Amino acid sequence: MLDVPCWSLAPLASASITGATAVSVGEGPLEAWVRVLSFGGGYNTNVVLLGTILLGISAGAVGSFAMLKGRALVADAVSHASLVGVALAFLLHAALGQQERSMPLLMLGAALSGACAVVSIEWIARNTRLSPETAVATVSSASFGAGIVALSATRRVSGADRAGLDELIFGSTASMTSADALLMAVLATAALGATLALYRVLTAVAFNERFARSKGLPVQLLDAILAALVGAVAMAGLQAVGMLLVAALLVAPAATARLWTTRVAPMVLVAAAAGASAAWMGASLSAVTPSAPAGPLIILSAASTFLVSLLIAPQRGVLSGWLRHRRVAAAARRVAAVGGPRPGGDDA
Amino acid sequence: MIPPGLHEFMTLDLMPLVAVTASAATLALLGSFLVLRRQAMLGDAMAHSVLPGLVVAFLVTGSRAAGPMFLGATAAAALSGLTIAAIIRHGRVERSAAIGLVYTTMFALGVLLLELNGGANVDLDVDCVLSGQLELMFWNAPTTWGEVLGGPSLAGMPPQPLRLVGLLLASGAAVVVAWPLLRAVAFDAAFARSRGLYPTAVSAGLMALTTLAIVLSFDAVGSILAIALLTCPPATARLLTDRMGPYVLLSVGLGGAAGLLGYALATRAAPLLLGASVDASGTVAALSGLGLALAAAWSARGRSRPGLSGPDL
Repeated sequence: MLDVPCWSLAPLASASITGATAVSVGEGPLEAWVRVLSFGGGYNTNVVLLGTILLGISAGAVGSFAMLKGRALVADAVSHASLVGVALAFLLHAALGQQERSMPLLMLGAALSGACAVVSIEWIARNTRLSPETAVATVSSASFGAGIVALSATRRVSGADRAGLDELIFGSTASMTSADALLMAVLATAALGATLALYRVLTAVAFNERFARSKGLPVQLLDAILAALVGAVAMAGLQAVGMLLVAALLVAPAATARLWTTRVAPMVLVAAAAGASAAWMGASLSAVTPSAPAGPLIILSAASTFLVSLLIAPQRGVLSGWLRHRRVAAAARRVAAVGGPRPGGDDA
Repeated sequence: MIPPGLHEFMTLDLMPLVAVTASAATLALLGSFLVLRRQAMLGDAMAHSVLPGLVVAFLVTGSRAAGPMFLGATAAAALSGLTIAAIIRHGRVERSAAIGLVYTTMFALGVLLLELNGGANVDLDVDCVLSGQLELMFWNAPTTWGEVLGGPSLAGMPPQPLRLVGLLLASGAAVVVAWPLLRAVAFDAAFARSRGLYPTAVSAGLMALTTLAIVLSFDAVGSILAIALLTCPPATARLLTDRMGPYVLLSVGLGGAAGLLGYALATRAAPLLLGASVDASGTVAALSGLGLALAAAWSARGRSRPGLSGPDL
């Protein structure tokens, strides 16, 4: 599904690539992909690839708990809302006379506006008659509108490096420096570490909130911590996956893992592995196909893993369900043929 | 003679203004039924997932003709609807996660197709997905009043604003005609079915109209900001009234007002305040969100009073 046709490499010559990621002379696209996939793409490419894989692991683990709590779409609102913060932080930075793009500052702006979005959604769902779904849809789309306005205002800032802002929308690993990748890796690892440290309490809250409360766990605080972890992954993924798609990186691996297991620890592990492999496939494909942004490639890898799992997973898969159905039907026919008790009776 | 100031307004601003206002009012009208039936997320999903259909239709026909674009978008919307249903049924994934998974995947596919063919076309690019292309809708307006009603300048009018006005009128007419049905289906689908009112057909008709509105609004506001107009004005109206007739009318009014006021703010007020105009469709979307914020603050203040608590939506 993700096999890249040769014609897509045509605009390669005109595309601006900052990293040493281009296809070498005399090398087919498939060979180039295998080379990058096996960490033969040069220092910068490898650092970015490793950072993205860490992001995938972290997104899988955090996404599992977000999904068990039914909070999967909060990530969507956080990431849509982060455009306002990014653009305003950029404008502020430029107003102070700074020319360089400062990724930590942009991330700080994104985190602040993302937090505002989460608080607004909670407030609307709690204090008005609108449903949480309506609250998510309205807050994320309206704040994205505000972000577009702020982004159009940055077009007036001359001289400053605003090219990176557009890349934050759809994600681009090609323009990431190793410092950017390091920042992403640190943030992702911190989120992963916090998730693992809080593993037991998060599980308790996810499955039985009343039980958790009776045990004296601070449920509201843990909710806020989970939202913060989701936000941290969304911020970490801003540059590689892009703000419009990073929510899917939290949802798809977790949904994939749920198809394979019903227990929490294996689910977190499988989700982390699925996230890592999607990040690995997508980021390396994007490295050899500069016209294709990394974000969509990573998400499509994650989605195809989910689709394959949906078909072949042992208990919940479509195929096993169909086989089970056939087995039951055949057994029922056999029972009917020997004149035994009818299926559906007490003995069947 | 048309005065020069008015002529300039007609050339630069009239068509985008008509387009964004008509698009906002239509989306608010159709979105009001989505919000009433607790399907706001479905509007979100549709606006995202039509993108690959639009791109494929554009790549196949090489033009932005509305017919093929609508077919492509409908096919993509239907495909994602079926996939969401299949995932919920077979994968037993929660509804919101299944919707989120499918629409972001479809959106990713659309963006990828766009970027891979990015060098070849300037008509359809990611900026258009994000915020539409209002600035391209200029009209070589006539210089005398006599030419307004006929002559070459009328033929040179951009087609999108007229289409959007047509869609607004058609959707309005459809809602008026189907009003008893819509009301019955919105409040009690089982009752409606028992009376032979075809709730499924009503939903399908609404979905088709909504898809068409999203496709035609693509030029005016882009696909993501369309979600703001599908959800914010209806949610605002829902907080302000309990009766269905006023609710739908208020929603349309709020959508249209956001369109007019947002365009005016972006192109007239922003140059005075910031020194340059800002993105008009983004302003319209943000303004509709601001309206919701004000209504939510007002409604939360009054919520402690008895008698104001209707059914939760």
